[in-house]
Amino acid sequence: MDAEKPHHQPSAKQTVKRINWLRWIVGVIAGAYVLYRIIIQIIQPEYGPVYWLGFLNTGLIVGGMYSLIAIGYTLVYGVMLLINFAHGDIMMLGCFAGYFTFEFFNFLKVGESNFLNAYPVPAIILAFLIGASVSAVSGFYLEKIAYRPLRNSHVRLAPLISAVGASIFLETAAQIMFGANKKTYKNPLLLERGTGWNIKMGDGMIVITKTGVFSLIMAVVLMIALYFFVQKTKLGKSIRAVSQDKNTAQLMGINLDRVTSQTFIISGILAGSAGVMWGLHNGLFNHFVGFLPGIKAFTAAVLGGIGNIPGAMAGGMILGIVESVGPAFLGIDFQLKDVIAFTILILVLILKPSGLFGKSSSSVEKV
Amino acid sequence: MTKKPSYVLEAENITINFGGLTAVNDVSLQVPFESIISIIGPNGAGKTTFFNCISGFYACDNGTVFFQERPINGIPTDEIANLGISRTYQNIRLFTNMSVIENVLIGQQPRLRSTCIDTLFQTFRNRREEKQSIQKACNLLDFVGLGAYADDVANNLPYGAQRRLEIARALGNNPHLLLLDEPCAGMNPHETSAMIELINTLRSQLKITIVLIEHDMKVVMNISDSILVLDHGEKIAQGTPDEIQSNQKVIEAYLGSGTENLVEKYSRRKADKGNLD
Amino acid sequence: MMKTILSKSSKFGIVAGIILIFCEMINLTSTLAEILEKLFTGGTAAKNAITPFYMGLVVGLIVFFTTINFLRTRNSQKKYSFGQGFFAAVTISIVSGLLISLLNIILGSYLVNGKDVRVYLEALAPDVIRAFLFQTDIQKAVTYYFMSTILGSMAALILFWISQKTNQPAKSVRALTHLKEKIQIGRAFERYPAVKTVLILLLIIAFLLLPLVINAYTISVLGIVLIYAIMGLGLNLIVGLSGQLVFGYVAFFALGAYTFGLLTAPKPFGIEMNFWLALLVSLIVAGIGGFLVGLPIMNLRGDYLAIVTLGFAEIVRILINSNLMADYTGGPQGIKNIGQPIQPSIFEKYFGEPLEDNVWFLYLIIFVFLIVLYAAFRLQYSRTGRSWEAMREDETVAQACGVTTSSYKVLAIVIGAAIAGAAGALYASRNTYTGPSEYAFMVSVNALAVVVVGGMGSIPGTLLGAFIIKGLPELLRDLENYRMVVFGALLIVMMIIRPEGIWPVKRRKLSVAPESIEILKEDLKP
Repeated sequence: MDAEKPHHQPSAKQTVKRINWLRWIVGVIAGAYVLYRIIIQIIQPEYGPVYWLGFLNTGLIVGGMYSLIAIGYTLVYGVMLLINFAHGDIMMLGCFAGYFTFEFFNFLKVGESNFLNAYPVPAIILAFLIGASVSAVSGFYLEKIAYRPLRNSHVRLAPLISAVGASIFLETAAQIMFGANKKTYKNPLLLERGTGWNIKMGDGMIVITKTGVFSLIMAVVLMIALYFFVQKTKLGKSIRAVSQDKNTAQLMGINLDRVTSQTFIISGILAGSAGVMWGLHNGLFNHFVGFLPGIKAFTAAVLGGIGNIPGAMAGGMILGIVESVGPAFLGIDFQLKDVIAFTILILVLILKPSGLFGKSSSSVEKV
Repeated sequence: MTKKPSYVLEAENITINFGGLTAVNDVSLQVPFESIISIIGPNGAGKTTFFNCISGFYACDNGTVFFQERPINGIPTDEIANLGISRTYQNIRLFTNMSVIENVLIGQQPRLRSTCIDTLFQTFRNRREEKQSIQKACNLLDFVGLGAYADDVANNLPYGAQRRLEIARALGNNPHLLLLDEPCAGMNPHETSAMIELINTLRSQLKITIVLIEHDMKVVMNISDSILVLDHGEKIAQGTPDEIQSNQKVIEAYLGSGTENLVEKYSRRKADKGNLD
Repeated sequence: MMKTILSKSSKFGIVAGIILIFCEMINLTSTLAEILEKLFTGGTAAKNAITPFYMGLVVGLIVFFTTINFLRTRNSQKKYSFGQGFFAAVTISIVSGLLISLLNIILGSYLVNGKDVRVYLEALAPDVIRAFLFQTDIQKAVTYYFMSTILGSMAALILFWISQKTNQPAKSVRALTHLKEKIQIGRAFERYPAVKTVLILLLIIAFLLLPLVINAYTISVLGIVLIYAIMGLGLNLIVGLSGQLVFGYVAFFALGAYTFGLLTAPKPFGIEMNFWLALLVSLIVAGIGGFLVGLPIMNLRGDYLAIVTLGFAEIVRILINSNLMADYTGGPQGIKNIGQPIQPSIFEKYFGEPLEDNVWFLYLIIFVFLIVLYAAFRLQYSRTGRSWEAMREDETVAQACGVTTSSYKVLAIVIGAAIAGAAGALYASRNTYTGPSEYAFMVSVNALAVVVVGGMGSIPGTLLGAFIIKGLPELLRDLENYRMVVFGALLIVMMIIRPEGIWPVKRRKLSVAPESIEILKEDLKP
């Protein structure tokens, strides 16, 4: 009837009774299996502690990127109650923008060498700025074109379908425009992929890559900046107010349109930065680069409690770690790490739909 | 604990908290069979919250609701509808894109037994039930005076008709108890008196017990057997319309304290009006 | 006044310019030009020699529509005067012309210098750039671009002016509505229900005779369209009726296909089960998959289902592709030699000779399709379907009315999944092969587009959608590459301008004459 009515998150009070049996069965089985695997790992360890540290290292790096993307989901969900399905593709655009920037600097001759290696720090900063701003601009227009006209649509699914349409559009347009073959990021020598520090420990060693360290630091810095931004600035406060109660926020003089646009810009900045990081760290990418990180970041957002910003940060980190540690821990093929991520999504929704850090009955629907 | 069977609904010491806010505090209510009970109170007094608790939307933090001597705390709303409590909503909530008659058919949900297997194979039971339920829906629509609108889309109905449709939908599950949340809100005097008539017929003809929230004092004083007054989540008075009209606490709640002169004037005028009638 | 027109029209000009640039970057412009050329000349134009005229035509058309849109933005009381319109049209054409010329100057200079831009922009082969330069040098191309944009916007202005003066469009619309009222097909159907029945029967018979007269290519296209129609009908139950979004519908399709493959193929199990039995089993397996997916979300909002099913689809795709299951699913190779049903000898008796295999299989698909169609109709207009729709409209209130929303949600997913499983089994059997590459995310998108474009909740809409989504692209093979781009844009545009779809659902008339109040009193006794 009215689009403004608060679509409730699973209000625990009224649903607890019915789902309990399922929750118990699944919880007990999952818990028992994890316990069993822990015992197995202790009795006959397949991997030494060095390997575990290595997995942790990988997990933290990927987790940082997941967190950045997940924040975008959470912010937009808080403001619009919409799963911004095209968010992964916004990240993809940032990744492409960074790629072209690096390519450009690679061609730009400065004396003997090229700009990329003569001035690597400005090059990296510029690449991040360009990547973030391309993502921010596309996020801004995405909201304006695909979501804003649907805010009061009488078809409840309309924004979500529009989101999937936008996602397909961006992905396939990028495919036609830039080709489906994988491209390689041109890193400056300062941040060359694969190089880094080898730390010897016992019988093995951990490789800590420069790109990895850089990505993780960058992600943490951005997250801290965002946290303070949301807590301290006027815009951050408006965003939080709108997520609490759209109508009241409007009555308090908050311009909903503007706050929504700005939310998309912020989430675009984070996603674009994550895209550039992804390219710097992983090297290979194509138009499909945003798809899996997108869904996984959504999983991370659900894991941390959707709408909850610190939750999204923690959720991303946890998901990244679980995903890289998981295959070894469960003793399965590393090919199947994506399966673990999605299984976690399903488990979270069964066991604690409000997320690890969400309040159990944050909002009760007004009738 | 033995309950007197003469009550349809008994709410005992209901308390509901939202975070730090106590929306309903220690409210009790007994609803005898075939009575009409009104709940009044200023905005934000916790009337709708109390309703939501009875109809299962909220679980109360303290206290018990008995429906025909059976505790119904924490039961999901669909099972409460099954038991025979149905309700309408303050801001009309119809299934807007469905037709009027389909809305009423949804209301009959708890009384229907055919499953989707029946539907697929078009069994005898399915055919009979479908026919009966459509007939009943038409009867109900005719009863509330919407017979002519049966095949229209619910969204296109005029405002007053939408309120009536909500009542028709609520009647579908043969309720013992009907909860009406501001049935006359936003209506003109003509529509209001028609609604009063409808509510009275509901009780007299269909023998349904009614609890209603209403701001329109004319309606409340006209049809209620008993009135419960809430303010800031607390019960401040309960009694017959006459008792409530002269209750000092109630008047204070509505008009604020220190308005004795005004109150006097008001009641004198009321009395004059009564004489005129 | 002039200033606002200037800023507004230059905005529109920029939009037109960006559209032009985008179309050039994905090489859509020249593809469209090629299609137009084929259409008008009837010949087969080679890609490297598109007549400049048609390129200009496409560019002009894009500007034309932008200008029309600009002129229409004013409400009906306040129209632009001719002078204002002229000014705006010129601005639009100059701005858009500038943008597109700029791009072509850059691309042209690259071409002249012999650099290949395909490293970065794959769509732009040298031939394509030459086509965009109108097969001439840069300066002439720029003049041509400006000519086409100006001509396009002028044409729009003149057309708009004429239509405004003569009020022609309004008249035509009115005439059409009059015509519709005069014919009154709907009312005739209401008065004589037999007419409708006969018409439907005739349609079905024509449909059944169709496979005998069409050629092999059409048969294969029709087969795909029908399989998608089956999927669409299943998805429509979930998305259209119960109002939950499923992004990973392909998971159930794949489950059905693989179950069917495993049961009927000689390898790896060698069961070679009977077709119908295998179809039934794959339907049930897909249904169970639906149940498993439905469980976690039965108490959650519909949005979660979208992502959960997407995750489930990825799990299924990864698993059938992985080494873990490779012994059974064949990994990337897939399952080969999947069984096809044996043709009963009745056909041979009646027709003298057995039907060709593809025709026989098409009949099979039609048969399954009709069963699914029947089931969909029955479900939609029943207690179950109504409960689903109520849930879609307002879940909270539906539950308070006594609809057990959690089980109805799961029910919708299970039935929808089972139907997808049947479609998957048919698909695998039709190709006698199934492999992981066939179950990409795009299949889910296609299925969703089938439902959304036709009209959510509308059965005829879904059939129409299946034809549009799977049939039309076969007819327009040139646009093959752009299909998904167009779908993406179409989903957004549909949601904005016509969320109820092309063929929206119509409410059935159900009312009967009311009886007396005494009966009601009796009825309402609890």
